[in-house]
Amino acid sequence: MLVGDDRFSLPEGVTLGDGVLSDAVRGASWPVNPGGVYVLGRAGDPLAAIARGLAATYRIDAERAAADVASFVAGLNSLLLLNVTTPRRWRSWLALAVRLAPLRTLPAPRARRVPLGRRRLRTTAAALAPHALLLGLAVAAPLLAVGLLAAVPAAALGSAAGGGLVLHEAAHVVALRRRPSALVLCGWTVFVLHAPLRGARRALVALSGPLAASAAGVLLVAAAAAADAPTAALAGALLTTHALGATVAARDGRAACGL
Amino acid sequence: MWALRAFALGLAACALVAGSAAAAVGVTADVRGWAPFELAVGPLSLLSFERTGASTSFELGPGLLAVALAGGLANALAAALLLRRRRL
Repeated sequence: MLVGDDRFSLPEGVTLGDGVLSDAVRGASWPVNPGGVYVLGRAGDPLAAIARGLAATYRIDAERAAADVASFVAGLNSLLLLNVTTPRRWRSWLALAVRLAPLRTLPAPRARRVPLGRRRLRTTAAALAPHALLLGLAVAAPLLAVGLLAAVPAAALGSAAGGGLVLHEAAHVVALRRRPSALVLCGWTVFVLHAPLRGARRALVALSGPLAASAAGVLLVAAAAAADAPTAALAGALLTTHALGATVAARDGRAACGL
Repeated sequence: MWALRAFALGLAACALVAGSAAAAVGVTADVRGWAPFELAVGPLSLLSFERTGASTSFELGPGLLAVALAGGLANALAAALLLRRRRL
């Protein structure tokens, strides 16, 4: 759900021209009607101001204009064609979550697209750092809280979980080489967006993430066995679970099988 | 082709995960001084840990292969279901 203070911007690689929204990363384009062109032309303005402008320009009801703008922007965000920014994001999210609580649902996550231009690995690591940190905390904190592990092993498992996420996505980026790509973050979902690939190349790019992280896990387990380090062995075992990303339960596995 | 690929990927993934988990348990048992034990699925041993005097050993059993094969079959079956749903 979007609110009036929200603003949107077209991510790098997405351009509007002659009533067509083009995505250089996917090599695809979408036609946009004049109302949509008006909205997209006001990128950076608050949605409430855009809705007022739309209502005045097309002489439509203000409420309908607000609903149209919100659904148009939400639709393009779900197509990964624009990024939405919210002032005081966490406060807004909490307020919305409280309002939605009677419906037993949470606010829908918004997709954020991070362009991968130069310094692709550094950009990937920087963009994923908050996710990696949260994932690490989500793994370590419960283990620590219930007393299943001491602080050091719990921290090691948390680091393996967070580091594995970064390693996994970085491997996809490396396998794509110089192909146009963008990192997409949507709630807990993270993936690398790129143009459709075919055959062996598609399988290679899809499998590079699970393979890199699980290979690091196997190496860590082997080193831990040699050094009698159980904490490192547990961290390595956790990293190898990335191999399950190669099954059809995950996006990578489905792509590798051509599904 | 997709079925074979799904089976191979499921088998490899499950073998890696089960093998690593068993090895991690073995290392932990060794360092923490656990008593000898054997993990098994029915008659198939997954991991056996033994302690003889000051020396210890852990052995990955044939049960891991069974787990991997089951993972491969499950993945191929899931791929077939996905394909069928997509065609409907």
